[in-house]
Amino acid sequence: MPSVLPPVLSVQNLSVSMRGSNGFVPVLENLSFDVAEGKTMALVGESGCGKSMTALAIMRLLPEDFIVTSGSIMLDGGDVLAATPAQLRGLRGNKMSMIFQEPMTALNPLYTVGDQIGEVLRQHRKLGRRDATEQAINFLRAVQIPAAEKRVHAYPHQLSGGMRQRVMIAMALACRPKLLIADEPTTALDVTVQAQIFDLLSQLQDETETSIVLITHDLGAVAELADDVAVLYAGRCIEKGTSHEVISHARHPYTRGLMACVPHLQLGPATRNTQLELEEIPGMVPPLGARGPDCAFLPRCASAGDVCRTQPQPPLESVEAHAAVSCWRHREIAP
Amino acid sequence: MSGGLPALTRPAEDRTDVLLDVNDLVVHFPAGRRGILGPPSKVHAVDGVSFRVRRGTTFGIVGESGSGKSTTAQAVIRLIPATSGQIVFDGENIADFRGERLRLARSKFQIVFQDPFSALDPRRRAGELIREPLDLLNIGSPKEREARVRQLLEEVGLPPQAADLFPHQFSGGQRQRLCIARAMAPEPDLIVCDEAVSALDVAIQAQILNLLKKLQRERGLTYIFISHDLGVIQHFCDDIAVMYLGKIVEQAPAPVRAILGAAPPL
Repeated sequence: MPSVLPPVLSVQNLSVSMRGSNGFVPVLENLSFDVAEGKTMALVGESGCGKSMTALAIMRLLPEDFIVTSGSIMLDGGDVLAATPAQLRGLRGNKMSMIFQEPMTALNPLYTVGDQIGEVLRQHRKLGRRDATEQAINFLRAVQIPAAEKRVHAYPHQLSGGMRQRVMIAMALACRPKLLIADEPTTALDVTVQAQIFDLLSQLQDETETSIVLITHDLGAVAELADDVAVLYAGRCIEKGTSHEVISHARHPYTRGLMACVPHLQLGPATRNTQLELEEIPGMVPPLGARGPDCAFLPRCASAGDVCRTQPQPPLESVEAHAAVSCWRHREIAP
Repeated sequence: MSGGLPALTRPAEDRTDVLLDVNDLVVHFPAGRRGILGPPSKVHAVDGVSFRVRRGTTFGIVGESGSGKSTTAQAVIRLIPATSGQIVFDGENIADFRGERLRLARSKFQIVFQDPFSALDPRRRAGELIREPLDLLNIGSPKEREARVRQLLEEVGLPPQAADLFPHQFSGGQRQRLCIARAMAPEPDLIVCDEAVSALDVAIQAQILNLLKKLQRERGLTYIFISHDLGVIQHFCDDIAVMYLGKIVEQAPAPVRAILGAAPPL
């Protein structure tokens, strides 16, 4: 992607494998993407496609038995994969931070939210307890929590789901990180709160110039928030491009399927076709270890042809300046 | 099945178009006292809700979390005690049912919960889980029950071998299929889907919605479908009620126009 500044995050040819009883099983294969300063990159796909694994690999938080087998992750010029544990502690929460999916389980129930936001500042900015609390109040105000002076002394169980997610955002942004990873930040929340959280994220991004990696399976959220999109399927990137390009001209059958199976709200007078069957993608994501060299989407693909069955999955092919796709038949099946 | 069940035998002329008629349903929860000697306070979770569900249709309830939609649905099928109000199911006020009579009446209304991970007992095999309502309600002979389990698995699109697996061996969408099979086991007239697709991925969500639609066509099932996703509600429901703070604030045949600004457009 052409950009004047060097990207804040650059992931090149990242592969992650799981150590199983019969050797290594690939989890992520050859994933590459860049995120420029102040931009949002969305990783899209179903569960089991490797979105969260990518996030954990960037944070170096991969579970035991999951190892990075090749590739590089550069954050603001520094190599994340080569960092020592002490350097990593300096990076996490400071230069890069993460919002987890479940605000219920990601907060410590035994500490007040003020303590938990302040902890980041005390650790990285060496603030005193009082200064940290004061800053925590400011951050709670920034994420639009009413009565921040009182709420700073509240425990997580006293807050609603939406408020807990705001606390997570405040905590993640406390040190003005270069990179924020948001792992399905709104999945556990309802629509009205979702919209508020997205507005909040984009507003905070405008103020702090933070780069965001947004992980989601909701293409509506992508249209709303992201500049660029990478669609993952079974650990491989199958389509990549600007979010406008990918959403308006989806080229891979999987991306099209994902978009078609979301029921859209239609305004205006009732039409009978709202009651028709939803489009669906039959079957499910192949489990780890059952992924051969051929196209991983092949068993579920309605437009698969002979070329798909005889050839291995093609590499990402640039179709236009801002779009790339990994599909043999994308030209033939274009609408 | 309604053979020895006085609760379910009814004169033929009672079989009207309306399966469920809820009148002025109120659910209050106690919420402690204000001060030591103060009056006990209550949370007005559902505050005078009335609606009718026609046989063979889908009634959608939409609203934010905390608006009382789940409480309404659970009170309707008597999982939460209603403070007052009438729940007329198939011509009888089930709000008055007690004990054994209520237990047997439950074969006619079942529920599918939001989270298929916690709704299935992890120590029991899928076949046993689906069979349990048949055992409890004493439907059919043991041999017939086995056959019925296989048939139910097939109807929800799972292979017969699935009966011998444990819940953790299934994916989220498959588990939701198990929950649907279990809800269908006693051949109910009404199934309440309490955010039944909210915890699933978009692709799986479409599969489950199509399955529910197919079952409705084949069996004439009636659904109460709860969701906070207006797109899903509009696609799936014949009538829609919007709840806010324990009250129905808008009710109409699909489509509705409220909270619309909140859903991100695609």
